[in-house]
Amino acid sequence: MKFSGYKIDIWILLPVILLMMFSIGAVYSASSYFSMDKFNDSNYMLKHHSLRVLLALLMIFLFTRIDFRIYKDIGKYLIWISILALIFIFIFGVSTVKGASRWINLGPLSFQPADLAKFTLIIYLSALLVKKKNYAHMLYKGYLPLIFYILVVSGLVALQPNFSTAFIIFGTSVMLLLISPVKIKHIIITLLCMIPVAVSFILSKSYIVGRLTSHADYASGGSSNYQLRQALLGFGNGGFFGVGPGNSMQREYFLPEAYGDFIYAIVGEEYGFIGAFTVLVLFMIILVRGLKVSKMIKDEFGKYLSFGITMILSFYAVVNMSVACGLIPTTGVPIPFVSYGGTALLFNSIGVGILLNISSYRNETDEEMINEGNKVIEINSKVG
Amino acid sequence: MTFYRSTNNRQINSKRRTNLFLLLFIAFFLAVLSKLFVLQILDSEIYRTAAKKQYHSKVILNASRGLIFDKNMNLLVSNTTKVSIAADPNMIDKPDSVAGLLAYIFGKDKQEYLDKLSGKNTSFIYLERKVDLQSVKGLDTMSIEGLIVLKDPSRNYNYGQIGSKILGLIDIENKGRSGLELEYNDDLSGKDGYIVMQKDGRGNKRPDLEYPRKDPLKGNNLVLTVDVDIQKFAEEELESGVVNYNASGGKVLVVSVKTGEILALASYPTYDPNNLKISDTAGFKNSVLTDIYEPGSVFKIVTAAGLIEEHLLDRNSIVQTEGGTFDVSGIKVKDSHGFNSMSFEEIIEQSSNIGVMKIARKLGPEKFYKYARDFGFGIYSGLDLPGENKGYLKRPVDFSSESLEFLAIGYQVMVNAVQLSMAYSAVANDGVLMKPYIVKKIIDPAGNPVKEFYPQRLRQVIQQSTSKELNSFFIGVVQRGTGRAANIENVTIAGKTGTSQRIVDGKYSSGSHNSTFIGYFPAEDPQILITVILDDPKSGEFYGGRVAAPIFRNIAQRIIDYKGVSNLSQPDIITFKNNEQTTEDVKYTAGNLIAIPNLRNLKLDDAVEILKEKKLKYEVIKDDTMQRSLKSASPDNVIVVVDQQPDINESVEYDEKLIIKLITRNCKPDKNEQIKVPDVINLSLRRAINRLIVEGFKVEIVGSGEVITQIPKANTEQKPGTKVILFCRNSD
Repeated sequence: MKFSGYKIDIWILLPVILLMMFSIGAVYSASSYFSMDKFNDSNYMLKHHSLRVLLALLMIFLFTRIDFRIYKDIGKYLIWISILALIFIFIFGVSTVKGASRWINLGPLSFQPADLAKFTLIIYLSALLVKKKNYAHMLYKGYLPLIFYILVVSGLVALQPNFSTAFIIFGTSVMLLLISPVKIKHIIITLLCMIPVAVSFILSKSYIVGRLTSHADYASGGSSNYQLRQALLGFGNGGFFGVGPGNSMQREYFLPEAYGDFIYAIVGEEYGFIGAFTVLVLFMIILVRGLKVSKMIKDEFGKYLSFGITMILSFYAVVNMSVACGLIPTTGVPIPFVSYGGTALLFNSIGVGILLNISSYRNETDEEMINEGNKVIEINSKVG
Repeated sequence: MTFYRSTNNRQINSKRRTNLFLLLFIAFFLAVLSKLFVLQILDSEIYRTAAKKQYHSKVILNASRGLIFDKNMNLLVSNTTKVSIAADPNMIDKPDSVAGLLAYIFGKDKQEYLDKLSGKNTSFIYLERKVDLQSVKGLDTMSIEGLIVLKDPSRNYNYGQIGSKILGLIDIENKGRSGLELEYNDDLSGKDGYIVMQKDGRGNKRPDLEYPRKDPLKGNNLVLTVDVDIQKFAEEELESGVVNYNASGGKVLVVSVKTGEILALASYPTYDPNNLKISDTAGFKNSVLTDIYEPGSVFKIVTAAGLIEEHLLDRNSIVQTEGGTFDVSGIKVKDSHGFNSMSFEEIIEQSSNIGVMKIARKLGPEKFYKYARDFGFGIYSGLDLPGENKGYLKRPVDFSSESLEFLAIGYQVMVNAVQLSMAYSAVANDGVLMKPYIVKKIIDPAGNPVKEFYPQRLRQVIQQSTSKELNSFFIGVVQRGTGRAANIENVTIAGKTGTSQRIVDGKYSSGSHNSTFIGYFPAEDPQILITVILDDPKSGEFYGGRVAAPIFRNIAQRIIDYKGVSNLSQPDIITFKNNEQTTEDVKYTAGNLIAIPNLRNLKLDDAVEILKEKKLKYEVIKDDTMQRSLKSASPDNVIVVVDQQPDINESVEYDEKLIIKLITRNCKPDKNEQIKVPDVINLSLRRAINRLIVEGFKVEIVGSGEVITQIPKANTEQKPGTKVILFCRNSD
């Protein structure tokens, strides 16, 4: 399909749009009771969310039109902006969510630097891998600079503390290194060195230990994890067909903040197995098509970048779904495009926009790309 | 442009790893999917049940307890709500203003509350306990942070101390603890209803829309045989008697001799149920029933009755009375008078112990025992109040050598005041022993009889002629003998005195007595019997004729003044209960009229439960004209009774074949149909909710009491399931 002159992958765009539509219904269901109670307007959060979805769609279309190769050059600035933002909230601790400083307030907007950083890190790592492709296998010239940025970004995120996001950022980055010429030996040694750091970090944060033990308790039939128990009741109560849109009972404060990280349970309750399955399949489609773009594209930067974006979105989705249905210990990770939350939605849409832009080059030869690319730059400079 | 060129090897390596990650993540997704499959398909039912449980909670609607009336329908016990006010001092922001408010409301010193509110190391302290709801002047509706208002359904005893022993008390759970409250707890307590509330995760509740509520059934009311005026005379005179003669306590029982109805029942010490104190506990027992004692001379009734009935002794027969001292199996017996010989009649009039001991020998142990037992001694009187002690009557085989003689004068036997009263009532009632009773009827809240109690003849103890003879003896006791203090002008009194030594430290004491007088009037046609017993009078006087008889006289005089002399012998028309009839049969045969329960707006299941409980047959009729759609006929649907035949308050003769028709309707209508919102303004909240739910609307309530506004408006067309908001206000 040709879209605005580019042949983007409709099989990435379509699932994303469907997920966003889904999220409007789900956020309304999950938040209306809370909104009514708190803001005396059951549509309060829905209105906010709808606006954000609209903005997100705009972002997708905007970034689809921007040639992804420009990020290769500005990647270095982006990563340092992100790192500075992370340091900024680490020092000033602007807004606290459940004991963790994750937000920066910019007047009416507030955003989580981690959501920015996860993409800028991928962009910059992709750029670095291209730049250092001839000596990426070397330790000092290749590996160390790469791992330096990974550790700085994921370390700062972990210190917020937001261990789960740090884990996802770190994991995605390592996967990115694994498809590059970087030596596996280096990665394994890094991981081995990481183990004592990670363990001592986990042990120092009582809340993580608490979640792990409560999950162990749940796994052995206990019920100390209230939120998870409620999520499971939601899924189970939904059954195959669900209780129907707007009929969720779990949202009525049984499932705390149902519109956020546990929205998947509300989807499972209202739309049943069919709904939960649909959401899962949409993410699988994004995963398959995104990686297909990465495999097909001739451009090295595009390959890494599309891989990283696809993987980080999939990683978030998998972790969120696994948490919601109790496969892994409870951790606060939103589900991309579905959860209520502005920053994540915004950056995820930008990510998808970039991915779609990359997808439009997937079947072309190097030469064609360069020509097309020049064309784009010309167009852009005209517009600019 | 070498920039884009890379070795094939590396390309393949990179692609292979990408595929590896693809497979890895697909595996993750499939793991989630399989978990969902288990949760949502295999184990769904388990979770569904658990989820339902946490969404609903049943709130019990307490049934209001039945009322108690005296025989003239004076309301003795009613219901009230008491309020206790407590505080969490740590939560009170401005103790000064709260204390000021309380001081204003309760008219007390502000400092008193300030002191309590300054105790920061407690999180709960009572400021006022069990005060009337009216007295808090709306404090219960204000919400002051840290101030706790507790409401208790509670009983109001309209006559205070009067009748408190009969009525009894309820415990903190509103259950009968003593007296009639205990004996008739099942009738009084009614049946609690419930409302199913839907709740959210924070415990916020609202009425569930799917379930109609089950209204509580008010308890039935009791109508007593007691006359509160006579009860008042009895208690006042008993109290002043106890005080005058410096007694430790006393009992009075007033009985209608022809019927066995208890007109008054009093014992001292007593208590005010509206204002209980810890020191009252000694007075809680109903000693008329719980106390047993050796009655002394009043027990001579057995010997006298037996001898006359068996024609063993003529009233004029002379008996040697040994000049006042007598030796029975080595025990010396003295009479307070020193006659050498007396007639049978004089023996009773003067209450000669020696004389009675000697004539008792003529009757013999077997006959003595028979008459004592026939008069009801040693067996439960059957009075419908809890805690009766049936006392002890020796059987002839257990008699020792002096038992007969001492039994004859009222020792070696334990009796309670009710047994004595009923025995004398039998003499007054032509020899027929009646069953005493204190509840005349049980009526439902609408006033329809549920169960009525009738006078019940237990047995003919002695011939009518014997009773007449004894009656004349007892008249003599009051006119010439030991009971002269009981005499009243214009009314002939018959009676008998009794004085017995109490056992102190294991020995009969010459300084501690029980003093009794039992009398009835008018002796020509006896109607009312009064028994007075004083425990241990210490004023110097202790003979029954000197301390108990005056109390009898005072009570009798007041009753006569109250009723009028001429009215004494005009009894109500009495319907006797057939002895053979069992109590079960009486249940629905009170005038053959039955009370039809209100089943409207109940879930069918609940209505059926009520009917089964009442052992009534029923028939369910589906109202098809109102049933909206078959699409909605899923098993989850709620079937509600919308009408019934016969209706409540209709007087229906009980009949084996009586069938209550229940007209039912499915109250979950088709979702696409438009229906008119009913007008529920000015209805009570309860009726309004039922009305709307039956029509298929959801309800949201603002305030409480009567509905003043509804949104959407009445008669507008709305979809079923539309939420109707009711604004309510208390109508008072």
